[in-house]
Amino acid sequence: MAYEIVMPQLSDSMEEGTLVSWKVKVGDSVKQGDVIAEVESDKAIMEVQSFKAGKVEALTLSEGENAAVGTVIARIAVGDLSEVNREKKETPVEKPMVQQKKAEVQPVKREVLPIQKEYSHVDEKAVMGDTMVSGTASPKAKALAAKYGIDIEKLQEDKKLPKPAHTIDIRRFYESRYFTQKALKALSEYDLSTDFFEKGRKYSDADIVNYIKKHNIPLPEKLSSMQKNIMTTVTAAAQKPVYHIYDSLDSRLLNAYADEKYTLTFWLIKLFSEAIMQHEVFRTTLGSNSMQVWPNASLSVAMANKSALYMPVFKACDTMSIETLYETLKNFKASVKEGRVLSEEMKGSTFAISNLGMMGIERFDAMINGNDCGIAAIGAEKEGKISVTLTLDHRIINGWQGAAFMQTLKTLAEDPLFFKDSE
Amino acid sequence: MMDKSIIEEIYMLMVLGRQFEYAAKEHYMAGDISGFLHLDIGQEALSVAAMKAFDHGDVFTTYREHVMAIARGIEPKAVMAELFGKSTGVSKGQGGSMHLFDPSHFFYGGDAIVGGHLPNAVGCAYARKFQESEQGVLALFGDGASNGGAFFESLNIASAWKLPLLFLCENNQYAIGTKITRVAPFLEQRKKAEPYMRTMEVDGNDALAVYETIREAQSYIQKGHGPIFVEAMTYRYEGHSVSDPATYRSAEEVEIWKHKDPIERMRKVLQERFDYGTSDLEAINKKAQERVDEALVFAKESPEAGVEILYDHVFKEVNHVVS
Amino acid sequence: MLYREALNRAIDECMAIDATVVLLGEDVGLYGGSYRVSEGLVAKYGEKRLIDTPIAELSIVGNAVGMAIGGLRPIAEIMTANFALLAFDQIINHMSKYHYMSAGKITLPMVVRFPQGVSKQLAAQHSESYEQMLAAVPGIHVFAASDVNYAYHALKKAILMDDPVVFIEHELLYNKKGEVDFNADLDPFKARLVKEGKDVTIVSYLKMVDDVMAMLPALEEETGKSYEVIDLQSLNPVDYETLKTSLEKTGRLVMVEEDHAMGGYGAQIVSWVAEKMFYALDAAPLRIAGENVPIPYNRKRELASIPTPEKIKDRIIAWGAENGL
Repeated sequence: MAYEIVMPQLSDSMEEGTLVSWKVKVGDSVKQGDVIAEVESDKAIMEVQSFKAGKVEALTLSEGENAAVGTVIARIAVGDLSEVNREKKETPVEKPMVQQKKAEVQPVKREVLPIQKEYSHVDEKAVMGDTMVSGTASPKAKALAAKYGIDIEKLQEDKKLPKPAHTIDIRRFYESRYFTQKALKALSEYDLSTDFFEKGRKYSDADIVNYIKKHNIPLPEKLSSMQKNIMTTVTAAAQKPVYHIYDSLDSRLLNAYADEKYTLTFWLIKLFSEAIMQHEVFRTTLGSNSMQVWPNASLSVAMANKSALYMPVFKACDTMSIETLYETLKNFKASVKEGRVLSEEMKGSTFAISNLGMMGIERFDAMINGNDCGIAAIGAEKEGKISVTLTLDHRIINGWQGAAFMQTLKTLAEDPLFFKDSE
Repeated sequence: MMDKSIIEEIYMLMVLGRQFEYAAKEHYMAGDISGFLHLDIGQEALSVAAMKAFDHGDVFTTYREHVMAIARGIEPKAVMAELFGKSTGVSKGQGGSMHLFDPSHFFYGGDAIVGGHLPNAVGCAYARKFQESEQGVLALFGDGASNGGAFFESLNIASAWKLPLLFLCENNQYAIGTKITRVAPFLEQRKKAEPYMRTMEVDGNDALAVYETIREAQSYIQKGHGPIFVEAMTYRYEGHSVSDPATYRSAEEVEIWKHKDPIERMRKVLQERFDYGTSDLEAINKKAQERVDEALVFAKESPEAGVEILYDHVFKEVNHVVS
Repeated sequence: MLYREALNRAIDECMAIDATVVLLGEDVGLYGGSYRVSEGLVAKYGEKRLIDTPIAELSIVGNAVGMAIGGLRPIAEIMTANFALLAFDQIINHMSKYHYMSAGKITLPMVVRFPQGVSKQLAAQHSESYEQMLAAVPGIHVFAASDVNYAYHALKKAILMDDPVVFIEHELLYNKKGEVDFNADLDPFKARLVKEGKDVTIVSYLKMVDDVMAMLPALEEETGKSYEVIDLQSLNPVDYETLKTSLEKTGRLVMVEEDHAMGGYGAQIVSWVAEKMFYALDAAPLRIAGENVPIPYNRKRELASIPTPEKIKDRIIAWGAENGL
């Protein structure tokens, strides 16, 4: 059986090779691994080996001849695997190294160049030139212009759009073309986008108003800080563990003494102030770790103008003379009318009164304001009685104490001496 | 005295190794294998005997690893298939000749960066010591690696921390075309290790001597004495790789070494000491050749995975690969 | 807690959970780490797990690779990115490739961590950033921690995951204070929306995020526009999803980074945006990066060579004016 040796692929690019020289002749015995020829590729001269042992049967390429990769160049008859005895060759001696002559060492001369101050920066302007030709716009702007049917290039040439154009420019142009100033203002108020309106015609504010009515669009009003405060306050109030006491006061004496100057409100403040002084727990507020008992009665009274509700505080009103109380009440009424109540003036109360009697409300219950221990909701007079609903914080005032307070109020309301002494 | 069956196995693997390497070269020339192919022909004694002797530990070696991998127990079929880039290869065709990884045989390649695996071997030895395992680590490298920074760092750390690491220097005197004595102050690389650890020397072409030496070295490191440096002098018949015509060595020098051929010497041992006859030896040769032929057939007929596995195994967990 | 304390806690907890977690590096054991990141750990876990190495960065990472092969879960600490160059062969040729080359047979559950960037007058060889080189390497995840919360969670995840991670820190962030939400389940591959806005998207990472946030109030006031700030956090893979959502809203990109502009990391982000989100853009992207010079020692020039809050603000304003903002 013959083992064929082919022209090998010696490099990726090799397609044919030249046989440089044969190292064996026909009839020679070869061992596995023996070099049989030298071949030249496109890159180098390499040795070709026989990978099997045997006898050289034929050499089918001559020295100097070319053959394509894969062509058979020799045939080895694969015989027995017995090893061929090698002739012992002489072990050659290693050649000694050649002595080098020592040369003189010269110091390295390197010229120190002056510092280059001209930086080889690419002159962007020179390279880029004027890239802002008509029609230049950001991709987003182009998309928007296409949507609106706007010709960017023409408008830029007519100086109606800037170069380059951005979405804000496109939008502004579009809006000024199709919407009146008033219409845009209305849109802005109602937080509406111009995109809701069909393209191609002009819109006036009347159109906008119609649209708003038709689609029932609410007018968004941003929350003022006051509104936010109120929300916080009443939310906090709702968290408190409260209970109610429903009762009423005899109105006879109150009506008798109330006049233009010393109004019902005046007398109510006096009444509650006195009752609070008699019931310590109604002068108590709850801190984080302790109850605070206040020496004076500080009462806040709900007062409203057309747009807002205020709770100005009558600080230490038990110590106020009639005149002082009258002045304070008058001043607060004025402040409330003008909406000019300072936040300082609304701090420091322990209890509050809210009166809706003048509106004809028979009875209601109010929500505790801020850190107060309770609030009294006053209703309209009916059959000689004015309704009073107490909302009390059960952490501070228990039912018994609440009832006792209510009793005091009722007693005072029917006590002529109280009214006389107060004058 | 070594067991006869081990000696026969070593001989068989050496013969198989050489046949395998020639077959690989042949198929490289035929275009089935590409890239770099570093052949171990002439160094079989060292490759096989060291692997058989170091039976209880991790092995880190160089890119000239085919015979070592086979001696370690990896199927020649899988190695040849890897060279052919097939999906049945040791590394599914992802690594090639220089990257044969098989943790189940405690064999970790295969590093294309000269000396790059030495710090890895040191780290693995640390892990074995940390785990209080009996296992040590064998790091095989060439004379070329012993001039690099990683080599010296590894000697230093292994001896500072007394790690169970067997440094095995395969000194075949050439790093591609550069003779070791041109770039190192002396031929014997173990001299560099002398300040750090015990050193041993062995004739790399004497398989039995290699076996005994490595056994002793393995025992030494397993007993916790720290690292050890074994230098084996040997020679490769082929160039550094298949694309190297090896013109930097004289034909005479190659002849000198071929006189010390390791397979020849083993054959003599079997004949003279164990009374193996010609037919016994032929039978072994034949069996070896059969396994190589088998491996070739397997490699040729194995399927080749395509682009569909290009992004496989970039990561083990979530494959966050953006193409 | 401090940024370095968050890292310390992450490592501590991982070491407690898994007895194969070890930390190796220069001065990480007895010294407690040159930035105090491993303070107190050697007393808790011993010298076998807090390994003081010689000054041999190639070996620090190379040994870690070997430890991982041998079954440990190593964290290799390199003192600064500048020294990590010596270990790049091990990071790139070994750590990132072994899993792939072995077709999944070798797993390297390891982390390489180091701080980088310009500190204070440490000069050219101690002031570099190499995220651009490492993010370009397939086979490793690259995380950059700016936020203290991310530092804790992402480092923990990096240590406990089975894939190799390069975890990048910054010298000037170690004493940064921040809140850690220990109950969160943070995905380290996601970017962080630092602040919502509607007119411009500012993308950054590492210390530059703080520089951006420092000048932001003044910028918003001066321009009257609102800016959205994104901290990339994961440099590879990139959370393009978050970028896309933001850019669809704003149409404007500003990329802020400390490394040199040439071939810098941000070029990848800008390139992606130009390629994939071109038609959503209302202006050319702005890239603010370091100058293409080695970092000088002199403080004035050092600051001139990298972005600073003032510079970032001025450049955004100038760009905005030219680009219809």
